[in-house]
Parts: sequence; structure tokens; C-alpha cells
Amino acid sequence: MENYNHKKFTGALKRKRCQEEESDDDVVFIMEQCGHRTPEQPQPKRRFFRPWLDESLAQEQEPQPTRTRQSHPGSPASPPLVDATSTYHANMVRSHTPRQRSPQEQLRRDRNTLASLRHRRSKQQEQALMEQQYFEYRRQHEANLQQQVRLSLYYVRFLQQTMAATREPLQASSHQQMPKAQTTTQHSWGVHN
Amino acid sequence: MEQSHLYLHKFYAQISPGPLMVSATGLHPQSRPATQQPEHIDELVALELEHLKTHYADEEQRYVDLLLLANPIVVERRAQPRPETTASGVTIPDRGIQNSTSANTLVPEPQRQTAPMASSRHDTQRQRAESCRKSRYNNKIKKAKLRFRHKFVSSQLTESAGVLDHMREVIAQAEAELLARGFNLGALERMRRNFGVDRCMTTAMDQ
Repeated sequence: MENYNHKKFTGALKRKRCQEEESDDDVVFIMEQCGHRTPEQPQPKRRFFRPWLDESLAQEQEPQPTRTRQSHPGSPASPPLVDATSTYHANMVRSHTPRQRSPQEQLRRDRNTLASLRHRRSKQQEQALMEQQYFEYRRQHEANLQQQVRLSLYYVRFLQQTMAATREPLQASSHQQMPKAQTTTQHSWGVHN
Repeated sequence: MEQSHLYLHKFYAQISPGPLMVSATGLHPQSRPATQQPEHIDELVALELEHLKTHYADEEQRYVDLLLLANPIVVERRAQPRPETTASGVTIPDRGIQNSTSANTLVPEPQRQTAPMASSRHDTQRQRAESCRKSRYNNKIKKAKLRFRHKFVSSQLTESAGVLDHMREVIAQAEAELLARGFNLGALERMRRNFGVDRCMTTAMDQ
């Protein structure tokens, strides 16, 4: 799972996280520190994707609820910048001050994040496996039930009848009592409950 | 847990008197089973299988509900709900409420007449928090239900495999005795094919 990619460390969010510290050093630090455990990515042309530095692209309009929320006097802190290409749902945007962390803390946070994401993914896979197994077992059980039906049909309709038929000529001579076809076949199957 | 086997007994009651009642048609009772068409058999089998599948689904649902009641899902609150919401008596103590499945009716937040100054942002925020909480709770329930269903199907599978093995033993004995009395092996195999007895070979050892 070394090449596990998560959107927090790729694409828009990485860009967003990095733009708050206006330097590349932190990300370089993290990427070098984590070594093989950080997600492997295709080599970028530039270190960070910052289109406003490359070209002068006009930012998209922010969604209205975010805008009103920002201008509300009761808001506790300045909300995080909404990137032009971010895909956040307006309702989901949390307005909290982005904490300033030392590089070591940030490193620890990132490691923890990655670990938790890996754990979550393994849990998801576990669930998926269980679900697959459930469907497989259920399919098998239904096949078994069908066989039970066929076998009982075979036994009752054919074997028992034939047994009775082939036994009858002997009945007078040997005084053997043939068990009749029973409505509850517990005796005939000899199954204990 | 011999549930499925007992259920099959109703089927036995249906199929066994059948052939004896059609002797009025003039067919010899012994020859009637031998002339049963595979399609007719398939129809009977399909019909009974549908009954059994419905029965299984009902039993599974009952089992899951039972286990959910026995193991209620708990989702705790991190913070107290806002003091304005007292209308429906949803005052909750600090932490550690227990949501049993029957009580999982989240009453929608009533309009607050007492706080006309409440910001719409807090409203959406609280709505969002409630939805998230509800979603987490429902996901937990879904996971638990999958676990219980898996448990149920596993037990049912081992049981049905065992029953199948037993049935095959008894049938093998009966067939052996028939052959000992001089019954034609070819005819026997033809009947086995007719009934589709060798369709899927699974034994309890395959588990």
C-alpha cells in the first residue's frame, strides 16, 4: 500500500495547504522525510501547481452562501481561501483558523493522517470482502436448498414408490411390513433434531 | 438450528400423497413416477425453491433484528445540542446517549420562535452536524447488519451442507437396496438425470 494516493496529498488540497506557507520548503521537507511511505506521484513539471503565478487566471466566483458567511459579523475567524479549482461543497466548508504547526508537528500530523487513511481503506476492503463472501455463501446455500428439494423429490416420488413396488411381491411370502410413504419423512430420513 | 429442514417437511407432505391420487386417470401408480418429465420436475423444484428463499429471507431479517436489539449501536455526541431545542423533549445529557434501533427517529429541528436573531450559518452548521451524525449512525448500523447477515448465512450454509450429505447417504442406501433387488441400473441413472440429482456436488467438506 506504499503507493496509496489520497486527495489530501495530491491535487487541489496539497496546493491549498501549501499556499498558506508561501514556501516550498515544508512540502519538500515532508516528502523527503517520509521517504518511501509518501504516495508516489508522477514527476510534475513544476513543484507546485500554482496557476495564478504562471498565468493571470481570473478566480471563479465563490458560491453565494460562502460569501454571505464570510461577510457575516458573527463569524469567528477568516474562513479558508476557496481555491478556484477546489471542489468543496459550500455547506461543508469548515470555518476554522488553520493551525500553524512546526515542521515536525506537521510531519507527525501527515504521518498520522496517512496511517489513518490506510487503516480506513483496509477496513473498507475488509467490509467489501465480507460482503463478497456473504453473497457467495448465500448463492451456495440456495444451490444446496435446490439440491435438497431435488433429492427429496427423487426419494419420495421415485425411490420410495419403487421400493414399495418391488417389495410387494415378497410381502405375502415373507410377511415384511413396508413403511408407507410418510407425510413427515423424519423417520425415513432418520434425521435427529 | 434445523429450521430449514423442518420447513422442508411441509414440502414432503405435499409431494408424497400426490402420485397415489392420480391413479384414477388410469395410469399405473408405479409407472407414473417413471414418466415424469424433467420440465415438470423443474417447475416443482423452482416453485419450492422460491418458497424456501422467501423463508430464508424472513429468517435472516428476524435474526438480524434480534441481534441488533441485543447489541444496540451507540453513537455519542461531542457537544451538547443548542439550548433552544426543547420542544420535542430532546434534551440530552452531556455524553453517552444510547441509540437503540427503535428510537432512531431523528425529529427534525423545530423552528425557533424564541431566537429570531439566530444566524443562518449556525442553522446550516447544526443541520450539517446532525446529518453527519445521522449518517455515521446509519453507516454503523449497515456494517453491523452485514456482519449479522454474514454470520447467519454461514451457519445456514454449514447446516444445509450437512443435511445434503445426510440425504445423499440415505439415498445411496436406498439405491443400493434397489439394485440388489434387480432394478435396472440404466433406468436408475435415467431417473437421477430426470430429477437433476447430480446438479451441484457440494459437501460439508467443501466448507
